[in-house]
Amino acid sequence: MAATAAAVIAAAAGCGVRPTSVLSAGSMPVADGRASTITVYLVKDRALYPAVRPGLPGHPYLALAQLGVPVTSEERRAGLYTDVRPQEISVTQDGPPGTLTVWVDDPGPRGLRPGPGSRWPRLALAQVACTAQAVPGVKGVLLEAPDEASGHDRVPLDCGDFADLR
Amino acid sequence: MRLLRRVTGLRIRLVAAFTVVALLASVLASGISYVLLRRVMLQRTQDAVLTQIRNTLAQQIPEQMPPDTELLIADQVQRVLSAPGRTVVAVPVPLDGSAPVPPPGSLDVPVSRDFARRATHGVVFQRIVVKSRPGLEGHPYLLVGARATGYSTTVDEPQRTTPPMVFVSVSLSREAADLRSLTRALVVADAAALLAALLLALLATRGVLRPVRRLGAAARALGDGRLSTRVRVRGHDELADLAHTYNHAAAALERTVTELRAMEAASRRFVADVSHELRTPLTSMIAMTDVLAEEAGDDGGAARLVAEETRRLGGLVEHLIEISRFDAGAAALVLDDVNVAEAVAGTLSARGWPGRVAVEGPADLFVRADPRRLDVIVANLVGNALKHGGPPVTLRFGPERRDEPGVVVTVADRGPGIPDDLLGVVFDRFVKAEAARSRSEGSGLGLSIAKENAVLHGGTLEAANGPDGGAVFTLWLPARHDDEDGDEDGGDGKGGADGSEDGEDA
Amino acid sequence: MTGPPNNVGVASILFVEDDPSARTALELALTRQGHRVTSRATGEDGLEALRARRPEIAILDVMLPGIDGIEVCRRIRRGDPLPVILLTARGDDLDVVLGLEAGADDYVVKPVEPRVLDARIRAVLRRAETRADIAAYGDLVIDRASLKVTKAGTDVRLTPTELRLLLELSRRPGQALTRQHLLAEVWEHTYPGDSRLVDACVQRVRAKIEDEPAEPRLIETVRGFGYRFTAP
Repeated sequence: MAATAAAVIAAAAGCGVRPTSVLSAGSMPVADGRASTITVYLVKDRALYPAVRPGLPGHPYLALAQLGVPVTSEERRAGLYTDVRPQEISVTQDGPPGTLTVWVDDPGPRGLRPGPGSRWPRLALAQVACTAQAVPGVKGVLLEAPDEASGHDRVPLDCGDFADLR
Repeated sequence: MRLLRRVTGLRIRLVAAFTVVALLASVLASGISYVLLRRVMLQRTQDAVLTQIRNTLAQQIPEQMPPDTELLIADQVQRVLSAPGRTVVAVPVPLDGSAPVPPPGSLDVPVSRDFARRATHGVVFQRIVVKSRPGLEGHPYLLVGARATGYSTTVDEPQRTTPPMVFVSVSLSREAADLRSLTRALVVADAAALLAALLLALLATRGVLRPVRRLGAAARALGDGRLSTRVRVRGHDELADLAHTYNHAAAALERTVTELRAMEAASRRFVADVSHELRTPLTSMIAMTDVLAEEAGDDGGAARLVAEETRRLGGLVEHLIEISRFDAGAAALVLDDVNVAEAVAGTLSARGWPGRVAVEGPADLFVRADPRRLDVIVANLVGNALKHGGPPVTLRFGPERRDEPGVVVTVADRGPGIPDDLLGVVFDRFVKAEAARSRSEGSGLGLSIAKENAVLHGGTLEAANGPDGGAVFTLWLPARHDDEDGDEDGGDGKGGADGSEDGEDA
Repeated sequence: MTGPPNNVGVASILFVEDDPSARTALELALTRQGHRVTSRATGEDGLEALRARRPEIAILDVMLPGIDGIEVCRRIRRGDPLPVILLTARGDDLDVVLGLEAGADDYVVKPVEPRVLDARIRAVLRRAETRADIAAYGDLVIDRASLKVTKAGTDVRLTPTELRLLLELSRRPGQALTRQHLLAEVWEHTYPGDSRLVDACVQRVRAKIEDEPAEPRLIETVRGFGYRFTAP
């Protein structure tokens, strides 16, 4: 009887999912994400300079986003810099085929118009246009930003317009 | 008493043992299957989750990471891994080697520092049952921590290109629910097994115990003296062996007892027969010695002695016959309502003793007794007192209630009393108080016969020494007998009607 | 107290006993008591002698070769109120009961003293006291003078013992008498007598004088005490 009771109690106590200690499930997975490299147009000596960076799987328009991050130390040593201020750049593809829309959250007080005090000098726009068109299958870029006056600032860009900077 | 024996009896114990064994077996079987199933079930879930996480990390994290894309990777991993019941958190890996602990509340279960530390060196998991989150107590979760390896970082800015760690908590409530229903099914199955075992055990023990019970009844019958009791032997098992053995033993016992009884009866019959055979020659001897003594006249001292001794021999034979009648159980009571005073007076006067015994007692005391046997008892007691005790001999009688109304008769003398070593055996046969008395007139059977007669009446006869010396014999007889059948009325219808008299006597 | 003892002087006795020495010894002893004794060794011879000698009393040993004493008694009782005393070597109750049922008036157990046997013989043969009166109880008439009992005009043949019992009972109608009293008065037994003698004798008397012996009206049993004669 005691044995039965013990067995029943043990069975009842062992029911359901039991917690475990921390268990190892093998070694770490090896990073093996396949993605082609991307070309990011940086600036060197006030001219566009294509820099190659590793890509990221599932992010075809990463190159545009990469314009918003500071250059790597290696690129800096090579005299490269970017005229696009570090910021959040989001890229969508909702326009006509082959046209990307690049949305800038905070274009500064002067919007996207180039000129003194603008956060978007001509070199920066050239960077965006050429980097975008370096992505396979992209024909043109539409840079958009909120504007105090018109509500919506929209500038179409083409790398060909900036041939003087190459 | 019977109930207690039923509860602790062989049957209950057998049934209990059988049931316990069956229950243990079924519980063990279901427990093992439960554990195995649980392991398989959880293993599968764990393996699926771990494989998915491993693959996701491997696929989503490139060998070399673009700078500052941690959040993108985290987003991507979260998106891929997200599923109902899961939460995924990607945490940057601090470069100082400390363990990255996700912010509290970001996962369904807290991540311990130890878990995080071990997660930085390999894929780890832990099953956690929530204890302290209200509404989720008892919910089990699988917590997995992993990071990828095999990537390269830039030398001087590793923090910008280090992939994040991933922590995933997976709810195991579906598995828990499955296990619960499995438990329910197993409990039902066990209960059914228990019931079946109980039924089977009852059936089996009944089969086993019926012969045992029969053997017990037979043994009791044997103990009660029904020596011809046998049990039926069925089958060829141990119980049948036992029954065989019992039958053999009973047969041997019956044989032995029958032989012993026959021998005893034969020896008793021998005494009785010898005594009977002596009677006829004794009759002639008594008659002839009487004649001889008379013819010899005054000179016939020798003839008178022979006549006297012959008469004594006759008395001894009479006593032997009386005793053998008691031994054979052939002594019968011829009951009558006896006036004790008259009976005592009759006994004394018939033997010429009235002047030698002081009698005290009420004149109207009646007892239901066999007058002849009462006479034998009183005559033996008084005769014993006159012969062996010292005068004065007193006889007292009166009513005395013991378990029922009765009459007590005490005979006391003022002699030396009974020696202590003889008190216990004074009613045994051929016991005499003095060695010298072996030549005296007593047969040595008188007190035995008196005692047997008292017992036959349902009464008692006790011997003791009085406080003032002298032997005291106390006879007690019940005043009435319930077991009498009224035979002496000889089918007299009228006499049977007034049974109220018995009540008045009492 | 039971009439003049001299109404039994010399009796002629038929004595049946198979043991030669016992026969010789008792015959001798009884002869010395003044009786005329005819002794026989078997029941058949005894019955033969009974017809030839017409004795006043028969003393029968129970254990006899051939027909035993009880059977002899039974045959005597068929038509003869001859008093019978059984002499038994076995005081066993069975012998006594059978003997009394067979109609014996009294019994003695061996070894018997000749004096005792003589006293029993005299008691059994003793005539009841004679008083000149005739009493009628219904159709039962008891003539105490001639010692005759008639029932509805017919003579009732009673043995002396039965007659004495009836006279003793009827002397005090309505009064209950104990068995021991009757034994002392009728059988002249010293205490204690065998009360079965009384019971057996009462049964026999009832059989002769009662209309319905199974439902006696004249001699009633007083349970646990004795008997009572009731005049109707």
